[in-house]
Amino acid sequence: MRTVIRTFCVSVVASALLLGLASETFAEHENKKKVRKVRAASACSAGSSSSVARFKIEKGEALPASIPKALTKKPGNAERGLEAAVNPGKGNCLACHHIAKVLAKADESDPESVKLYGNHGEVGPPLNGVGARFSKAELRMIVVDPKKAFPDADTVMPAYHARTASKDVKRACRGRVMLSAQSVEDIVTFLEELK
Amino acid sequence: MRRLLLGLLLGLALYPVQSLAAGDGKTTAVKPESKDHPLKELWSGTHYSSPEVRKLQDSDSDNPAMKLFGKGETLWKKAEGRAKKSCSSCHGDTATSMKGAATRFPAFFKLSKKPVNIETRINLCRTKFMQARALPADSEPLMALSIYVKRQSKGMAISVAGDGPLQPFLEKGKDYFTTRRGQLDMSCAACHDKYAGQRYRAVKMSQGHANGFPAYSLSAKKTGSLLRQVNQCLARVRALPLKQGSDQLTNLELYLAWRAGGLGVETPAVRE
Ligand code: HEC
Ligand code: HEC
Repeated sequence: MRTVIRTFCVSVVASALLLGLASETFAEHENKKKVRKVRAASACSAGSSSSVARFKIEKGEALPASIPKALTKKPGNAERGLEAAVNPGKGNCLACHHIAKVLAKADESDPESVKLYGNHGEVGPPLNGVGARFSKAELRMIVVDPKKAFPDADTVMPAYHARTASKDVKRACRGRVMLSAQSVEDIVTFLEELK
Repeated sequence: MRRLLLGLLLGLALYPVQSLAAGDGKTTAVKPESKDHPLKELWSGTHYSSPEVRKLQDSDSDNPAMKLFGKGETLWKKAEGRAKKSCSSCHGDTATSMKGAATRFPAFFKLSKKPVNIETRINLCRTKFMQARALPADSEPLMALSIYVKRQSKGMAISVAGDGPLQPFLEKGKDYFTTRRGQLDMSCAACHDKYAGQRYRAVKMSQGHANGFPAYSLSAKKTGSLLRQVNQCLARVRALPLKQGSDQLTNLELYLAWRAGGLGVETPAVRE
């Protein structure tokens, strides 16, 4: 009888403890999750997204791979694509590429405009005429995951809509891609019109 | 006739010396010593600076980071800790005792069996011999002492040993430098080996040498450590930052020093 009572007491205490602990950790966990979400949204970048669209890769004409089907139902918008390509927190394509159409937007008398549209990098080839060199499906592949698009898988160009980053990704960016599916479609439409 | 011959001989004798000394990495390139070096010619970051910034760097009175040099000199002579000693109690005149030190660091530290950089070495002296507290990472006094010590090697060629006990650490540093990381999945080598001299948006990328650090940044209006610079680069590719005093940072610094072998010490450099 004694042992039964003792067992009962112990189990009550234990389950109370367990319950208490569990509920505390759960609340804490929820809280942390919220904080993490807020931080991730603000600290990674303006364009980053945690959801990745499904897509099918097929062989291209000029390139080994292409993505024929659009990532979104909503069609891309070239004007928004240009802005996303220029934005340092989104595509930042200008870091590496010269684009004459963008340069033409730089207003010499306005330092902010020069800062945004006037400084073009030289790491990659100029993008003038890419709409004539590649199909839309290939351009989509290039922006989504250039390591798959180009014959040289060792390219420095970052993947914008594939989780290919291997190491030491900043916490706020983990599991996220650089551009949302819609931004990719916008940029691809902008590129397509560079003929 | 005799004088002419003498002149000719003298000229011949001087010729190779002059051609060697000509490479300062700013106006003329330095040839890397090792065949395994990733770069064909070495250029200091100062090579890409405007003439005005270069003048600022070269002037002891106008270089804004030289204020810290002055603070370093004061600290060097100040007795601290339970042993009531200063740096100068053990090392005397820096112009002789510290001459060339910056060319050899990070150096192997026998007690801990790994390389230490100058900042860690300074803190080891403080805790072991002065019985004083270590200076906080990246703090102004530590940067001041570091600048004061490194300046004693001004213009002297960097030359760390790539073999011997340092070798495995050098390999690790090279590994860090050449490994892709961050959300952009880029390595230090992509920007500073492969595309050095090329523009990245508004800035021309240098070869990423550490020979001018700590360096003064005109845009940030303050002197910054190598760690701060490297962490800026890591933030650019959205990668985790390195930590002060970590083995990763020391190994990377060691590889950077090996990679800059032959370039002159320029601490404190001035950058845009
Ligand atoms: C860090 C550098 C870098 C960034 C940033 C970058 N690219 Fe590239 N890009 C390259 C390089 C380098 C190549 C050449 C291909 C290779 O590496 O084999 C390239 C190639 C291309 C090509 C093919 C051009 C041709 O004529 O062959 C397109 C199109 C392109 N990039 C679009 C973009 C767009 C759009 C963005 C931004 C959303 C972007 N890139 C951002 C480096 C970059
Ligand atoms: C996306 C391109 C990029 C990557 C990747 C990158 N850097 Fe940089 N780095 C720069 C730019 C741009 C500057 C500023 C211009 C300059 O001095 O080269 C710079 C400057 C530096 C400098 C200062 C050079 C000087 O003389 O003032 C050092 C040192 C350096 N980087 C080291 C590194 C290391 C180490 C890594 C890897 C952890 C790295 N960088 C990764 C672009 C990059």
